[in-house]
Amino acid sequence: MRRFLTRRLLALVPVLLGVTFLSFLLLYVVPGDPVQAVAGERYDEAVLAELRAELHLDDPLLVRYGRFLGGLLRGDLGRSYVTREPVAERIAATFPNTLRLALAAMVVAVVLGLGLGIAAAARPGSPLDRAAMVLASTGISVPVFWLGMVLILFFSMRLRWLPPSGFGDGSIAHLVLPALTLGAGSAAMVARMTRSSLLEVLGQDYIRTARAKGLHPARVLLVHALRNALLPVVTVIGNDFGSYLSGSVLTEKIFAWPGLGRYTLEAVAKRDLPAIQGAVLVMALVFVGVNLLVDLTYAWIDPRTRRRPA
Amino acid sequence: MRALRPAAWPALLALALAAACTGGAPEDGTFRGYVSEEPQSLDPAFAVDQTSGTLASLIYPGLFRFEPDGTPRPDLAASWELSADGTTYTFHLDAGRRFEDGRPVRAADVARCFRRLLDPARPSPRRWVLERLAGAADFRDGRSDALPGLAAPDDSTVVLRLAAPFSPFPGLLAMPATRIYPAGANGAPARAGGLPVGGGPWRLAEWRAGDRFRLERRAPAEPGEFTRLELRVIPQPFTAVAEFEVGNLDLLRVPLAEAGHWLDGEWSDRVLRRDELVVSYIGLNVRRPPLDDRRVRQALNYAVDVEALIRTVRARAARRAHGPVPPSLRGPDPGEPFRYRPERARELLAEAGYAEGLEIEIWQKENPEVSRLLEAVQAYLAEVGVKARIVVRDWGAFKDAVNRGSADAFFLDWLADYPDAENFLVPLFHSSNQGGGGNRVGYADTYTDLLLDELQGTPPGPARRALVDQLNAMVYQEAPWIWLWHPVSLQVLRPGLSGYEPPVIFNGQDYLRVRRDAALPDA
Repeated sequence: MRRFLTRRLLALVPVLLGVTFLSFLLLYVVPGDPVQAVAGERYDEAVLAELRAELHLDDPLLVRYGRFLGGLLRGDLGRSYVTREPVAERIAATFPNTLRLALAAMVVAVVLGLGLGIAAAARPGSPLDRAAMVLASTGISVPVFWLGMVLILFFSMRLRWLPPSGFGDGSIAHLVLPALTLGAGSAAMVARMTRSSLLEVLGQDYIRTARAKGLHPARVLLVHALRNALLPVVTVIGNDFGSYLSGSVLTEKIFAWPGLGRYTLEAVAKRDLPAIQGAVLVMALVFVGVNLLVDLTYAWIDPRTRRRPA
Repeated sequence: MRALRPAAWPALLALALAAACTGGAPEDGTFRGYVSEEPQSLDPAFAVDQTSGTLASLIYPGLFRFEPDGTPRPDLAASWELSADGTTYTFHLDAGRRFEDGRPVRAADVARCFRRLLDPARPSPRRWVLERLAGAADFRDGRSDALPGLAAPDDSTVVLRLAAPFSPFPGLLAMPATRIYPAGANGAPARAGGLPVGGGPWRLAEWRAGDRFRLERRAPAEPGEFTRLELRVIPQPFTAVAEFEVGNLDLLRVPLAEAGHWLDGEWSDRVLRRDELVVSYIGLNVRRPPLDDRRVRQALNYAVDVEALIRTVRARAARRAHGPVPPSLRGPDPGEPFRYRPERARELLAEAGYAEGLEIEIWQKENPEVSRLLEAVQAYLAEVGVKARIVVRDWGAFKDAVNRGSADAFFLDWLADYPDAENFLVPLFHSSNQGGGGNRVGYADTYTDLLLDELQGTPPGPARRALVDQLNAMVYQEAPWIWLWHPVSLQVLRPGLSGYEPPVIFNGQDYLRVRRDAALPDA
């Protein structure tokens, strides 16, 4: 296990180098000049050249990338071109909010998804199964921004149960609607995966044996079948969790949620390279970290994988 | 299978109940507004966007401050005089004004902040605001350490001498760039607890990145006036509407897509309308064929039914533009307006050699309201044989293309920096301002330049008004833009509140006179 972990952590280095260099390269080739965001709507042309020199934007690509890596080794993500604030400070302020939302969305995905999936698999072909799968299909196909708006309309504006947006005082109330919006797609996918995976496992010999031993149907389903059916479900949850941690731009925007996604989106619009690089780096780290956690979860769920960590 | 019912419902119910218990009544004494994005910088020298400018104007004092109607009124200056030749402004500072840290605001502070704006070592994109000071160009370009146009002979006197008369100058001294602040590291505004230290009407007490600003009133308050100001960051207009409807905001800027609901419904008598000092236009790049031909540009103006667009796309919340200068800053409309006359458009196109039609690209930044407008314009142009392709880009790429002059045509708004016709003429049409200076269509005409130069030095009065009208009419007829409109802002104030006047300039509202009306409890 230790070798496995070491190897995965070492593999992080080329991944992060590749990701940061690619994003650097992409922003170098796409049109748009960061100093124009700094300069606003009215400026004299000479100030652009001076700002460009001050921000070292005239340096060759590799020199700029080298400077970024040098800063990284010192633990410095640099300063935003636009706000002149340290990028790390803003990421440190927004990432916990994104993490909070991602965790809540995952709770929605797991509770709703597993619940619907298990209910559907328990009585395949029943009205409950059909209803659950219709709900799941709807959850997958509904666009996030539409769902967000409908939830605000219904729960905030009509019922007045929940605040429409914002972080508020950090209460759960402010988290419910964005978490439902963000987690609905995952919940739907988890429900479908759980159902199909459970149905496959339920047809296997060891389940028949368990039933023949007279075990309670619920115990057969939840203890003997579910654990083996969870592997593909964990993959879905892991992937979605990783992407939620990278910031969910639409959900954060609709719900005015102060997260990493909105920060990154604004940075991209303004071609704020240090901010984008910092955000991309954190996203890549988080994504790789979550994948590692997923692999470790595999080993916990399925002892066979412990013997073949590669 | 009762035991296998979805586990989600109890959890959801618990969440909902928890939520129902956590809703809160608005904090008494707090006015709740919002901004649509994070500020780029609270350093006045780099406050180039609207949110930054709005906040800088609340936090920091200046020699002048805008009234909601756009009039610059003295702020730090207890009194001021202008010399007979119109070049030297002498300000006598109010001795009672202090920064948040308790230090009095002295003339040397004004001189320090103004010098920093022009500092060649720290190029500020807003340095043009003070470039009219005598010696500013040499100082700015590092050729001289002296700035003869700026003097602080004693603690309470500031003397600003211009290289040439410029009557809108007090307006420049009300802009966010000319705010005054105590010095911190590298001359930037001092900070305490991570927040900038100001000395304006409000103190920034809390800034939660991406979420909200909390400000506390420094200026004295009359009974009923608000002592705290909360500005949330709400990027989506729909979300702001929801927050207003549930009672979490005291003010709403009505999104165009919702205008009908607010203008015709129960809120109609609460909607405040205000002509903004803004002009919306489709710029026609006069350097690129076929738009270098005046007849083609005029044809495009005749081809588009702007009045119909105002009724539909703008929900009547706009006044038709007859030239770049808003009606409140000029005399009567110029004669022979471009009415919707598609047959005249076809004639002009034929005269210009485009009887068979032509193709152009119209660029826009990503924005659904602009897309709706341009699709309508596209249909009008198609009627006269002009095939317009709409090019949608993100803000960075759009701005780059437009400033470099590589777009045929583009949609933009121009917001006033200060309330003077000059601000709608010189930056937008003087040949020296091509590109990022404001003249993005590349308009270049020697006679116009001469008149624009004359305008800058002409004192207020009938001669200046006549010059403005002449320039407005000249540019209008040349049609370097498809003249669209001056937007009218629609805002709604929560019942029970009064004293709010929508500003004509984005930083023209200091919220000091907004009050809770005792006779009408908050809804």
